[in-house]
Amino acid sequence: MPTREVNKAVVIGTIGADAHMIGGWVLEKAFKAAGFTVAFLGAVVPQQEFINAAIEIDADAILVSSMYGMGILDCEGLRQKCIESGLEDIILYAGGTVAAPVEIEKNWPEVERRFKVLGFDRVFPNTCTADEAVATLKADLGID
Amino acid sequence: MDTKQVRNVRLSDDQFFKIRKEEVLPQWETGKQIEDLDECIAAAKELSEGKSYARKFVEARERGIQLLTPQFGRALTEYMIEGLNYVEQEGGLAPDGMWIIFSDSYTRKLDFVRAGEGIERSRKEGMSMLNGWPIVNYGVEEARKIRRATQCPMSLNSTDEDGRLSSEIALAAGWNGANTRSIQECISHCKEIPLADEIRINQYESRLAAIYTEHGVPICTHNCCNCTGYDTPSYRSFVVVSQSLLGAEQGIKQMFLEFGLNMSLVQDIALIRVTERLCREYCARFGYGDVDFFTGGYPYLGAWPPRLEEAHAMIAWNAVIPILAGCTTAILKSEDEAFGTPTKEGFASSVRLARHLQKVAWGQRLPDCEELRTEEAMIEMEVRALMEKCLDAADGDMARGLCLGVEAGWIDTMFSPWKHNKGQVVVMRDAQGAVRYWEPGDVPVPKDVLAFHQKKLEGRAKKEGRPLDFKMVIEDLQFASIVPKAKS
Repeated sequence: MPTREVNKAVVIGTIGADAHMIGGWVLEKAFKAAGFTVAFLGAVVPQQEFINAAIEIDADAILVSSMYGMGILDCEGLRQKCIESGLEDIILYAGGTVAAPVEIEKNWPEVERRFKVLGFDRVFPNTCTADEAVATLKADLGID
Repeated sequence: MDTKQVRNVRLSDDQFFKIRKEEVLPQWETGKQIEDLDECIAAAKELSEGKSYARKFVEARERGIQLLTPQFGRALTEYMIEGLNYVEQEGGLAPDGMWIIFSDSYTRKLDFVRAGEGIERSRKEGMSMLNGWPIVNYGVEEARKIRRATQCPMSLNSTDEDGRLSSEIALAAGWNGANTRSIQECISHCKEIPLADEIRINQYESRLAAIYTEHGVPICTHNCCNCTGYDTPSYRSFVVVSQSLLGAEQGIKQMFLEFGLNMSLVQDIALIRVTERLCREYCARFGYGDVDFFTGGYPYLGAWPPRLEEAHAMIAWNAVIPILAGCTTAILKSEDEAFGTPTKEGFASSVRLARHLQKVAWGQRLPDCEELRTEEAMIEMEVRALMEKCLDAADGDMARGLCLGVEAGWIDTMFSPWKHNKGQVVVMRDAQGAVRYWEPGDVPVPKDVLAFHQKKLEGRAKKEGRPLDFKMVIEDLQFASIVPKAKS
């Protein structure tokens, strides 16, 4: 649970070399409709840009999208960078088709284990709806 | 390069070899292995003997058969050879099939350092941690090794901003498919690059393919319109027709028109038929009468369902459309699409499924009918309007016309990661699943065409008993991927 005051602000973007942006676009609409401030960074977003945006809007969470299958590689080191930038408490979610090998992707507990090791609070499969993402974050933030 | 400087003009040999030496080969150390282009062409000729990608299209047309094209890409060469052989033999792809080989997305973004780390990581984990084969890191000898070890003709899809070094290596290895593209890549995969720069990059790749062709190794280039996956057929058609002029100017003699499918049977087939016709017409008008065109469908680019039965339905429907359109090939996706990088087993299954569809379809085609004629007329009117607007604005130069069209917002689609795309267009499916303009932005859609689209959308509102709203646009995004939950 975060110790900072909740600001209802999130950063959303697709990480790494990944050009898929529709999932992020849908999340942007959903979080705005739910009263959040959203920094939507689009696709092909480097780790540092997520952090810069999170500092700028005083975000509660960074929502990382990854569809092309290399999410595990792209997300490595993000938590560490957050800590180095003073964002110790920020919530990190990942969602999409996050692992290239189907051996991992079809074994969801293994996906969750790997993202936990990476310092992510949650990881969502690509069947997750925007409403579910909003409800989950609200619960994690302890608001309505 | 700014818009004022870009021209649809063939690169001279001096320009081509200067770019090759100064920009392309130095991108990574394996560029050194292919410095001698004459040697590369000679090797490619020998390696692709009996496995020519370009000749396979011609052969299929002559024999009156339809091919199948699965796609594959894994991090390690041994996985590649094992997977390709498996699908060729166990799946029955050989002899009447072809390959699209994907490089990984780091390679496509020219991040060869990360691609190299991905190779090491894959070795360590004992599985492919990359979403494709990093051709540039491996270099030409490893690509030739794959060529020798497999049977079906191969084409590399290095789809992104700059595929020049990847294509150089692939062509030198006897994989003789390349790409004719420009705005397609900006719309699908780019974020920042100005269109003029992308056109210049792809003039090089087309010219490279033409040089191989002129030296006895025919290359067939992909001219594709996968775009964002949520595009009107007229937008897709315009992308392909305009790119055909850019490729033809560089000396391409054979193009594979690759159509991203919206999965609307009649509208997709109309798109394929109109676009092939317009490519021939516009190329002839600009003096490129000797370019030959082949067609194929690329499966739906939106979200895919996770359960096997629904995934198989998608694979089948996306194969039925190009089969009934009379395309030379159907590109395939696999049952793994919703989960990750496709497996050899997944593609063997897709090949068997599509092969059987070809068999039971018995060579039937969608007969000419009023619905097909109407859809063709609507697409054709709009593409002509846009082509002429761009050509008029740029004194007949398609390269400049494309740039001016994007700047003005006449050329526009939704959901592109590319910042230069205006994104004012909103599309929605009608009551039969055809893709229509809900909001045309600044696209010069002829009045009658727009009225037709609006009428069709009203039909959906009526059918569903609710007014058109933005929620429908969102629902359309997942219409094919949501699987009904089992009743408890």
